[in-house]
Amino acid sequence: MAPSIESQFRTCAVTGLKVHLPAQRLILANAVAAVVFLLVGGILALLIGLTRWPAVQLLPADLYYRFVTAHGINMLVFWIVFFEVAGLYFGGAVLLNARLVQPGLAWIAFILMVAGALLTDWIVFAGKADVMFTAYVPMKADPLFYLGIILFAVGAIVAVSLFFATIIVAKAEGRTSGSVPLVTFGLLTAAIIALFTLLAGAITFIPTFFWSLGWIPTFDPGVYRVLFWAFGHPAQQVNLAAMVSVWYALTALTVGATPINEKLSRTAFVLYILFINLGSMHHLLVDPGLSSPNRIFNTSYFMYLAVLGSMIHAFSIPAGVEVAQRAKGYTRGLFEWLKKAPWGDPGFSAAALSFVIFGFLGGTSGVIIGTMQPNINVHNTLRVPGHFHATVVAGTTLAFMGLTYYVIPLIARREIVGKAWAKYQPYIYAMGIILMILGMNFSGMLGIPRRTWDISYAGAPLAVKFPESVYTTLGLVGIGAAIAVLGLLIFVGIAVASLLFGKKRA
Amino acid sequence: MAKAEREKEEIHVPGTMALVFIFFAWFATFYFLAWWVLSGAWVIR
Amino acid sequence: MSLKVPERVWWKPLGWQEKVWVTVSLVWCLVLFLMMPLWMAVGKQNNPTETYRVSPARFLETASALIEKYKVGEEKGIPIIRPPRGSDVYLVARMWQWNPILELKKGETYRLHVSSLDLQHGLSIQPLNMNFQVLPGYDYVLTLTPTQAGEYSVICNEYCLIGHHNMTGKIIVRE
Ligand SMILES: [Cu+2]
Repeated sequence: MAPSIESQFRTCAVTGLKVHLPAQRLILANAVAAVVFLLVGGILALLIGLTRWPAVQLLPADLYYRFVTAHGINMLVFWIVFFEVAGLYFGGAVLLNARLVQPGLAWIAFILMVAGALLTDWIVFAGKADVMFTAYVPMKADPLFYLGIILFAVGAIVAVSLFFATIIVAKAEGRTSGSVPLVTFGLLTAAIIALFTLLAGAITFIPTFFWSLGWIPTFDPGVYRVLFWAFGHPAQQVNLAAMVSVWYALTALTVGATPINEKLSRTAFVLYILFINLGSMHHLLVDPGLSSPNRIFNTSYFMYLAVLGSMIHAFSIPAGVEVAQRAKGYTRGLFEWLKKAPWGDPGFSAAALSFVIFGFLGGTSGVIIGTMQPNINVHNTLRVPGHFHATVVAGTTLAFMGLTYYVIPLIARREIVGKAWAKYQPYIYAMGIILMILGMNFSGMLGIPRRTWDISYAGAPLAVKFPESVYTTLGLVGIGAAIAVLGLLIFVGIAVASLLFGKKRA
Repeated sequence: MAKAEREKEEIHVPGTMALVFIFFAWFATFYFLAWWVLSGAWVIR
Repeated sequence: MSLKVPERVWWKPLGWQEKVWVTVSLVWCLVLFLMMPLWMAVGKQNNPTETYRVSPARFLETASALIEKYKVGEEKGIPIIRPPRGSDVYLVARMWQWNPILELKKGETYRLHVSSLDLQHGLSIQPLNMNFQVLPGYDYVLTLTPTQAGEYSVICNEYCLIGHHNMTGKIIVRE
């Protein structure tokens, strides 16, 4: 048995890691699927962004609502989860020099996820589920819509379980000893959060599926909201933990950063598991039926300790870079280390931009709008997407893009095609996203609702007049979205061209 | 380990300290701004 | 390095700069928490909690009776009502209209009941930008006191199918 398993490994010339070839193929398959859904979501983003720009208002109302639904699901679920599964196989098998257990089962998981995603997309594009990502009952979609999501989630649960099994087997077989690397540790916390997230998803969508078939006569909308957000918000905490892990990985790969204190960084990750909002009541702060103590407790867990975790990483990651850069002799003044960082390396610039935008615009806005009373001014306005595009797009997606520039040479063993384009891609993408986020936030502050096709209310019986400035801020949304999608298309182009035509590495 | 020796081993990251406190100032400003905006709304309970 | 197995013993004391930042963060997190109960004690804008179960039919019945009783006019076929000061006021959300138009008096406190007859809706009062979730089956009571006179638009900010962007209403506040 043993020799046949050893023959499944190759040794990476750059990192010295032993790469399990079946794991390598699965990492690639999941990453490619991720990029395909990113492309779909990106094209939809452009169309939606140009519709929200009142001067353009590109799409008709029905297509707008349909594409917002599809955009949310393709980006927030399909793109991100496929990429995270690739990341888990990388962190579980490759970083530990270990084999991925049960590659066959991993392929079944992959097929389930692809089938679920295609089924859901088919139903949505066929116009049988114009219900938004949240699908709030009693709004009803075609049963196959829920079935597709359930299939996808089952596949993801299998993939996450294989990641846990891989770490256990790696230890049992003696392929790794002692503590796992910090990046794997971070991914482990992401996977633990993912597991209870997906279980909450099952508790939400299986009854909804039965309800859509008529097997359950009624479904309380208040209960649905509690269940949905027990899935919907932790899902974003998975992205958070995965993104922070990628920040650690990219700063290590690009400048050789080492965590300044493993204890501190690992404790911060554990805070994510313990204090991430299980119930996520901050989506329900102005809902009927909940008491104030309930809302306060669930939004803060008394202490906002998950926020503490993020604030620790906000220190620990630049500190790691600063120490590594100072060791290279960049010691002049406060910031020479930062000025002399490899800003032309898309892996570094993507991580740095992701870090800064997430911190200044994403994380802080999340805490602010998720505070009980100020939420009255924010609920369901454009400030909400303004917040989560700063976290999950500028933060997670940009970080994942940066990692891709290393996954292609190290795992697919192809040279990056169009390195000059790659150098500027993170900046273009980040600039577009920043404009869009600012536009969304300003619009939301002026009262513009999210998910609304026409803010001139031309067809409404009673007129609604917003301040003139919303036409500027919504223009910013459209222009920002267009620039960001350009950055996204450059990224997809580079990734696809590199995988197909990149020079093979030895 | 002697105190002096331990201090020498400690990491000094003045640039990062400056960055995180800029971040903190930003965070606190916008946080309290949200409360100030709210205080202009109708009375509700 | 973050990608490699760490040294055997990594449980090490923090440096002074790390301690400073962790302490500042911890205190800040405590402030974030305490602001909410503090505002409940001294602030004037707090999230309503009063809720009752109600069937859509029953809610519509109560609301219609009050519309009948206090109707003072009509705009585009939508009734305008002027309820007595400090009374219970009913606002009905349905696809795709807020009914009726309310005429309130500045500085008076009203118990505004909102509920939906069909899907979920979002009560959004503009340009105040105060927003609340409206669910079918739940009678959500907002005890509110308008503090400025003027005409306020009511829009729906929870997606409610194809007519969502036509769902408007109005609140008039008189001196
Ligand atoms: Cu509505």
